[in-house]
Amino acid sequence: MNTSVTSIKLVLLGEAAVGKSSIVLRFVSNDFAENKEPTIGAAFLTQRVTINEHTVKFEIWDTAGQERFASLAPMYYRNAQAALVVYDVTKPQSFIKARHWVKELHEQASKDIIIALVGNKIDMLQEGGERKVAREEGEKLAEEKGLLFFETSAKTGENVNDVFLGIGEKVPLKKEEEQNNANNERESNSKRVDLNAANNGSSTNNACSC
Amino acid sequence: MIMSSNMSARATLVTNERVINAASSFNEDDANYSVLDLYDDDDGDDNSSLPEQKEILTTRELEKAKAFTSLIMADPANFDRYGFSKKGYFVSQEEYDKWWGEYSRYSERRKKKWENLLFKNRIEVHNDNPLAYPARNEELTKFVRKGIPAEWRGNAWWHFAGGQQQLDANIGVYDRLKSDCRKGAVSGKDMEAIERDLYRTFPDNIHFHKESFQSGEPAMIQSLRRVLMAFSVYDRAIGYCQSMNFLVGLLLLFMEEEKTFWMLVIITGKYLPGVYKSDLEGANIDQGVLVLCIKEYLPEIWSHIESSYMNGNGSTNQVSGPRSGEQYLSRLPTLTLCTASWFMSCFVGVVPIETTLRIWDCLFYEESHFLFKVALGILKLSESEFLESKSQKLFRQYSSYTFGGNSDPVSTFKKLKNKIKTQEEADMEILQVIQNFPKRLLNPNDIFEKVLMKKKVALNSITQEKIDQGREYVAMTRSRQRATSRPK
Repeated sequence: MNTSVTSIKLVLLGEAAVGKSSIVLRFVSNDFAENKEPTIGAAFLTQRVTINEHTVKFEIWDTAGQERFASLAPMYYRNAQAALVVYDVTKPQSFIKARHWVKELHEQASKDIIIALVGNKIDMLQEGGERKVAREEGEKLAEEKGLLFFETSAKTGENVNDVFLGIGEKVPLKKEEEQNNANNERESNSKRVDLNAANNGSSTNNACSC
Repeated sequence: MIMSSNMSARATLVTNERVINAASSFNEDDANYSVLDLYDDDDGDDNSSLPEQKEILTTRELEKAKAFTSLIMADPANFDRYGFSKKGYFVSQEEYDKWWGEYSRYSERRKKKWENLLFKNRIEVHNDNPLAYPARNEELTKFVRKGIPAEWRGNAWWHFAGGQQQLDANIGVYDRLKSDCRKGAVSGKDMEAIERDLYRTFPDNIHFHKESFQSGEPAMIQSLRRVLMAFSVYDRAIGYCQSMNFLVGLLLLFMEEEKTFWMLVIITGKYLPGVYKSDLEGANIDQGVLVLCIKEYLPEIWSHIESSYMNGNGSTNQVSGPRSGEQYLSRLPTLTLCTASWFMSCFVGVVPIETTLRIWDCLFYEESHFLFKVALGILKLSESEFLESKSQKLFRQYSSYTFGGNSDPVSTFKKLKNKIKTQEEADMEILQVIQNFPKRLLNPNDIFEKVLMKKKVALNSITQEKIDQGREYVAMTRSRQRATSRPK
């Protein structure tokens, strides 16, 4: 019996109003609010789930979607083990934005970050909304870039938990010792700047001064 | 005009229809209009009057009410005097009613004192909405900190913020901007962003609700659009920034559109300079100033931030520069990811509405340093909660140390790792406390009387001058650190 808890730092990225906060609200509180207020800056939430008898604790950074907040994004994904890149299946522009986020994550985030591409608002298709991003398009991008892929509805709850379970299953659930070793590795790989270290230049590959 | 309190036992539906009529007649020409006029003077006896109200509702009327609004909207007992839902994720209806019973009496007492103050100063309480106030002095400061009467707020904020001077120097400008907007002056990007956020502004407020009582768009939504679009044209360097929708939305509940516009100009230009610009540098600078204030006034929290920072949990979007003692001004600590929104939205949505309004009273009277005081006050109040969570961690750490067995280098290393893990865990808990604690600050006096009005609390010595100097210093430090860290 393994009683250790695996923590997964997860960040949500995507264009404004695609439903990032609503996905989190559904996952954390099993709730939904029409016309949810825009997130300013970021919101931090946690949720524990049990996956195959292991407890997984998601530490979630839900970020603001408006473009000018994007400069803050590296703060959130820097140490993240997982990311949800969300788009709205009725808004083609949001899919273009999702592509950009995937690219940025591959270039800037931790190498072994697990990314799930999430097409949200599929409930709108039943309500007469027109699908503008084909399921195949999402699948194709996911396959090319090695992402998990889901289509969800935060409104009905469809597939939302599956996204998190999918991520939870991909992050190896470790026994305590392994977890500690992994922490060591993660730290040596990460872009953290150690204020005590004599020279931190070489361990820093996130050389973006913007 | 506020109805006398004996009218509060009127039928639900009647109240709603009054709201309907008044709201649908609300247009650009209604000067000095405030939504407060739509509500009965709430004397806190909603509950006792409920059964009576229900009897009056016939089935047909009830159906009509349902057609107008969802069922919850048909019951004013669920909405406060500004149209906000009383119940929220963090506050139950019971908690709200219990608190409001007391706070409404406090507000009435304060209003009487205000009336006396104005009388003493020979200022007329013109139609329950004074147009002038006594000159600034210590007594007035005290009065403002204890809360401006809700019905007076629109004019009082306008007065204290110097709105009239701003308007007088710009006669006709707002009308011109509106006409420019109609001719297509708004950029596509801003227009899209604004439209997207209109219905996402106060969705739990009856005046902003899409499926409420009107067939068309609520008047508030139209005003919100006009002000935000006009501003995006007025200040192109800012355009539209999320959070401005909340500022405008709240102002519109207290004053007319043109005044709201000029108040937004004052907030974005004078109180929070650079905060909403596309690089958000002003917001980062303010967070740097906040960190310096924490260091000076809240040493316990600072020591936690510092140790967290040493363990590498400082957030960054900067490349590392030469190590200086104040790297945290460029690479802001993780905590600021939560607190940045406090400033951008001037606490709208961060704390419950009556607390927000008390903060706004002081913001317009005392300027932006008051926002820093409030932020520090919240951190101070939540301190006990999160230091507790830290001490629990330390206890756990200590236990594992004692029962951990041998002391070979490997296990010592493990302990070190455990310590880091604990630090991370503590960080997470602190972030949650900081985020959730203010949402439960239902009673403004829990922060005003317990912290912000106490002379002996050190953080109350912060002045506007000090914050302005801090901003200059942080701006300089950040740009210097950026320059030296830029790859050659």
